[in-house]
Amino acid sequence: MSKRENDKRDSPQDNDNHYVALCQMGDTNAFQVLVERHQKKMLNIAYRITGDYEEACETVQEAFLSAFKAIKKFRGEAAFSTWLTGITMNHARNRLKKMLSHSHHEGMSIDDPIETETGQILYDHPSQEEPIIEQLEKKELQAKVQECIGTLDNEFREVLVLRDIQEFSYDEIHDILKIPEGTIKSRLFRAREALKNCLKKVIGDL
Amino acid sequence: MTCKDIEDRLAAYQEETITPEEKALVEAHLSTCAKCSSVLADLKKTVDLLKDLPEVEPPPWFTQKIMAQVREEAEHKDSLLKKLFYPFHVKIPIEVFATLFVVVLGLYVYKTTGPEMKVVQRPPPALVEITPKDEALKYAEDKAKVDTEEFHQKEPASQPPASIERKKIAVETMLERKQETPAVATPALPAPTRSLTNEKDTPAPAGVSLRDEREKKLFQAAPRPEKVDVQKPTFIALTLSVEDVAKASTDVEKVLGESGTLITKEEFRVDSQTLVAYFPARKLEQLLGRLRNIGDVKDYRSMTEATEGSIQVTIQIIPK
Repeated sequence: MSKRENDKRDSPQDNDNHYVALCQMGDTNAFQVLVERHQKKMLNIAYRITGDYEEACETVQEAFLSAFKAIKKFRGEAAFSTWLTGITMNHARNRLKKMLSHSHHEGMSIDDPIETETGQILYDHPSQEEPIIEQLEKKELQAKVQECIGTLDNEFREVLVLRDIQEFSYDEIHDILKIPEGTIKSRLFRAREALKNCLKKVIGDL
Repeated sequence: MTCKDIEDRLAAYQEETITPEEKALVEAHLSTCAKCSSVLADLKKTVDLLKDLPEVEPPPWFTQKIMAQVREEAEHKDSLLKKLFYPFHVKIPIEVFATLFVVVLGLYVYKTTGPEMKVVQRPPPALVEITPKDEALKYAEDKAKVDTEEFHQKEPASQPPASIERKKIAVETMLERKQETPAVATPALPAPTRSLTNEKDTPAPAGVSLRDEREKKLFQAAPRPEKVDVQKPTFIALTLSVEDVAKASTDVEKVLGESGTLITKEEFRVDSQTLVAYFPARKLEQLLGRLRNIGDVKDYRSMTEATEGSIQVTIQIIPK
């Protein structure tokens, strides 16, 4: 997306490093600049991982707080945004675990999709006569996509979000997730395949 | 290549991460296989759908919320540093000083009242248990250290040797023994003077009148020796300057105890201690000698020239 590309250009690494250095010297106000620059990206990552806006907001707050606490440990080996994304991913992962255990305790809602043994959701198959994709509102379609992302295993979901939604490079994903490039690719391909199958089931022909 | 092989490579083809040879193979297959082309199209659509997902906007005041937490954390860190490096900066001193005050007050109260309570709590055996006979014996033994020769001259037959031997035994022990053998000692009763009796410190004021009554009876019963009028209140006072008050105090008590002397009064202060005891005048030089071994004897004041009888010795032990 062009908007995201613009964001990237607006926050060059060197500029981040300047504010990071100020933070490391105890300037709390400098951290606000970093928050303003990166909060939206971090919120979107957390939202796509958790699938819940409120939970994503909480995740990002925790992530920024953790980043502030650990800012003196940041040595600039990777870009600040990459480092921050790693922290956000960790918090999102933990929050997702909590959410899952919580939902298990709370029991199932009647509106929840039914998970099969393969972990895929079963919906009423839409009629094949009508092009469903046109009938669905765009928003609904996007909601279905998000639901399908939610059905993926965590390791696939993370790679998919970082690569196909946030458009991080393989190197950056390697820095964020600390996994080899080959693993990233294989996970990404499997994630796309699984998502494609899920979407086909949910909305019919793509 | 089968369709399955091609499908396995489609994702890599899409990402353009396959070798040129594989790419050529895949493209050749796709041009002839509608099914695989459809799969590739679906994959592309899937990725397009992902890329088209809208970005969510942060809630209002999101930056402020985050920064509020961050600043709270920063202040918490600062206050921790302050607590570590400036412990007397905020409220802590009040608590510390209050605690110190209570501790010091407690110690002071203990030091000042503790020994007195001990004296009060200890039932004065001389008043409660001993009969006039026993009390007379006690005087006999106290005075025996001083007046033995005198009494021997006056009443040589009535002074049992046993009472002289006992003079080095601690008073409380002596009292117990006296109860066992009161009959032996009774005949040896020398009449103590009224003035000497008054010098003896009675720890419990309630016991004074009782004791006086007993003494009166005693005096009526016993013949007064001629020496009586010669006995006057005599005392010496000195200050013992030492390194360790507590240790010196113990040493002095030991010295007095070895001489069979009753310490009638002990006063504990924060940095000094005062002992009052009755000591045989003829052993005074010996006592001073031993005290000089314990510490520096200062402010020696003597109100007596007596070489016989008991002398009230007041020893104040102070740190150097």
